[in-house]
Amino acid sequence: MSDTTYGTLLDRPRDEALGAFEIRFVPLDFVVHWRRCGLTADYLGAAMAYAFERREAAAAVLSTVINELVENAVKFSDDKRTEARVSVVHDGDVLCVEAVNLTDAKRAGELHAFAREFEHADPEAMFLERVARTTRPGESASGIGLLVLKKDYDATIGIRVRPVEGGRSEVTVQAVLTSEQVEAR
Amino acid sequence: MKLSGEGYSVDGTPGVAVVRGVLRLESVAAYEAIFTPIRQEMGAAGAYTIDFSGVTLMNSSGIRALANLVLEAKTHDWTLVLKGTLAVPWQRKSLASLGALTPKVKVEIH
Repeated sequence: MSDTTYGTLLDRPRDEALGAFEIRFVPLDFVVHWRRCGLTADYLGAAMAYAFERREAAAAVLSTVINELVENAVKFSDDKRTEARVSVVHDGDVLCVEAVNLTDAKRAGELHAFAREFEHADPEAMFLERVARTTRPGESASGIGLLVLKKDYDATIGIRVRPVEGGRSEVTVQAVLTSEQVEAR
Repeated sequence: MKLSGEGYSVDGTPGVAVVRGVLRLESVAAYEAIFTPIRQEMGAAGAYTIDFSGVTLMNSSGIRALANLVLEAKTHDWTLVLKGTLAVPWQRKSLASLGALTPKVKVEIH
């Protein structure tokens, strides 16, 4: 089975970046101490915010976006001891937040189903439908975080699911923001 | 009502809850520690206000938990006011959009 990409994934060489950070982490550490998700996001957001005029707003927006991707990578890693990673790259035009983790066939299948709908849906309508779904017994609604990033922060979301050995998949999620979006203008 | 957790606090007076800090709990279920006491007071009050102006960051689990509370207010015909500030991005963006769930909930962002 080949890679499947939903939306657009940026693939820019990092030697052209104005700023770049990457953190590798073990999801289990973040499960045990959940605040590590927020601490990682706050650090990367604050560090990148120096590149923007409205630094306080940029730090808050970046922290929010990075936190959602880190939390997802932690929650949807099948083996919590296998490393995941988050990176933030700013090339002057756009800022790209990317999280990569490994997951199992069941979660990969759920992600395919979500991403197929997410790629073309009106995010506001899909958000309301998913929220209503959570009030029904036995129903859950993952993907709310990506919907929030798309509808409230105008982030361009790209998702790639790449099958790897052992029936597992490598999941890459990108959120791309312009400077105006980072500064919440 | 007065409660707190790592990074946040809630102070309540009759009809009003003031939430402060950073809300990034690990799941929707974890938010019950905050929203169960608020829900109990909402049911007893004619109208209820939750002031989020002092909450600088909230994750999507929190937004989902808050959306559930909003839908519960709609089901029980409770009057709920959500307050926020334009100065905090998540409030201007996500909190404001929760008003679309039901006209029974008023969102005031100043």
